[in-house]
Formats: sequence, structure tokens, C-alpha cells
Amino acid sequence: MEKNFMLTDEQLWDYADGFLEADEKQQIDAHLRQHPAQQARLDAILAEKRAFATVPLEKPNSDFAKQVMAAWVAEQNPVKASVPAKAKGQDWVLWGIAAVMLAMLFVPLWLAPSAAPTDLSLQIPEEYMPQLQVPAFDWQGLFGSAWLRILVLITMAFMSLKILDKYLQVRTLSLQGH
Amino acid sequence: MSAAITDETLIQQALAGRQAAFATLLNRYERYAFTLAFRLVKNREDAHEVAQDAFLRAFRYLPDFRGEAKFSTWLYKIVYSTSLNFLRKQNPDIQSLDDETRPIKIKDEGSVDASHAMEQLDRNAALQQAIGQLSSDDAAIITLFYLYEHTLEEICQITNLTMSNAKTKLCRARQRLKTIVENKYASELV
Repeated sequence: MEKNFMLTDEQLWDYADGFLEADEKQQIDAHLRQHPAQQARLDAILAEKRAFATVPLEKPNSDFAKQVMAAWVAEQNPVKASVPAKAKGQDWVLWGIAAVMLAMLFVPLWLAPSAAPTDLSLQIPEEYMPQLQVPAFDWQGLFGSAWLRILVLITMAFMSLKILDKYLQVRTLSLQGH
Repeated sequence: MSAAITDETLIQQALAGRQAAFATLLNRYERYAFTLAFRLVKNREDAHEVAQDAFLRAFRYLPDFRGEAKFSTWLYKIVYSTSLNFLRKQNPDIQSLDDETRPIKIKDEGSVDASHAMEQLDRNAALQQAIGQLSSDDAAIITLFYLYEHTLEEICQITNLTMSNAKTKLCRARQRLKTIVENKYASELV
């Protein structure tokens, strides 16, 4: 049998890759001991195999790990993650609008003549009483102003759009399964 | 420090909520996962997307990891299936990653041996380039077996191939790789 035993490349690769059964391996070992040329073929295959194993790994971008971790943290904290940094930065718009609306509510009250204490004149002598000139406020003119009406309408439209935007953000996140 | 900690310990720590354990697992396997994804999708940008998606899936389903296989095998299975899904989205007609029609040139009697060819070239660069020219399936199986030193059984777990299929594919991929290297050497000699 030994005379007719021909080693193919595939058998040598199977030998090198460790795919052979014990008896097949022993048979090839014996053959290789007697045939240095076949042993040289095997050595070449083993060198090739080593070369396959030393191909360098590809390198991802330097911020790859950071991006994955950021995505992972965001996935674990959907509430925090649902407020994008951009939107956080725009909070001052909402606060500004709220302040303007509050001012529109309270400034007229503060300016209203009815807010002035009426019984103060009873306790303070007349000569010390400052000659207060309560400004007469033209409420009719203010609320009749077309500019104010437009401003109020624009503000309300803007607030409605912001509320709609927030609703859509929350809806999108809930659809994504957060 | 992280090299001393086993994957199993890191997984337990990650499951207990330690973000640092996730980060260590990520740092340990990012190049392997990225390389496998790159071999499969053949594009760096897409490989980043696939590898990131695979890591997030792995972290998400870490509680389901039973430890029956190595963590790396489990992770590469996710990378492999994520890459396959990505390629199917790109090309819905794709059935298999394997290019059955690609001819295999069996070495002629007088052809230059690939190992000798590689001695003449920058071996690593030549091989890396040659692997890049293989089909996705061939590149993946060569990478998993020779570079990551996974066994055929583990490759079967990753790719869902049968043992005989995996062995046949490995043999064919190796022949194709040799052909590419030999052709490259021949063309550089001309």
C-alpha cells in the first residue's frame, strides 16, 4: 500500500488543519518520515497556514468604541436620551416665551390704578403725601392694537408648534420601543 | 488589567449593570468584530454600522447568553447574521453569501507555489488584499478559521453550516485565496 500511497494537497491541508482521524494521521506521519519531499510540501503548507494566521486585523475608527458605548448608554436611558442636546439648548426659547406671557399677564395688573392702596392717605399727613400722578393707561388702545393681536397669535401658533413637536418626539421614541 | 479578567467575569459584571464591563468587552473584541464585518460587507463605513449594530444587539441580548459556546463564537454569530441582514437589505435577491459561480483554478503542475509567491511579496499586505477579493462567505470562513482560530464546530455555530459544508467551503475558499495570491504574484512578475 505504501508504494501506491499518494498524498494530495487536500490531504496535506487536512493534516495541517487537524481534520484527520488518528489512524489517517499516523499513516501520513509514517509516509512523511520516509519521503522528505512530501514533508517539504507539508512544511510549505504549514508556512502558508501561519501566514493566514498573521494577517493583521482591520482597525475601526478611533472613536468607534466611544460611539458604541454612547449608543448603548442612550439605549439604556431612553428618557435622558430622548432629549436631544439640540433641544436642550433650545429650552431658553420656551422659558423666554413663558416669561413674556407672564409679563403680559402681570404687568398690566401692576400698572392698574386699582392696585394702589387707598387707605394710605389716612395714615400719612397730607404734606408728606407725594403728589402721585397715576399714569392713565390706555387699555382700549392696547387691546385694540392690531400689532398686539398679531403678536399674541404668533406666540400661540409658535407654542402650539412646540407642543406638537414634543408630542411627535415622544411618539417616535415610543414607536422605537424605548 | 482587563486581559486578566475572563469574558465570563466581564459578562457577569455587565449583567450586574457595570458599564465598564461592557466597555472592556467592546475593547477586547472591537477589532475582531469589525474585521469580520468588513470581510463580509466589503466596505469600511458599512462595516462600522454593522459592527456597532452587532455590539448593541449582543449587549441587549447578553442575558440570553448561556455560556454554552465561547463568548467570541456567540458574538461572531451576531456579527455574521447582522452582516447577512445588512447585505440582504442592500440586495433583497441575495440568497447566499457564497459565490458558487466563481471558478476555482486548481494549481497547475508548473505554477508558482503560493507560499513561495508570498515570500517575494509583502506577505501580510498581499494576503489582506487577496482576502478582500474573496466573496464574503469565503473571506469570513478563512478569517474565522485561520485568523481567529475557531474550530469547524464553532464556525458551524456561527454560520449555521453543516460540518461537511463548512469543510468544503473552507477548502474552496483556501483554493480561491491561493489562486488570487498566485495571480497577483504572476502579474507582478510580468
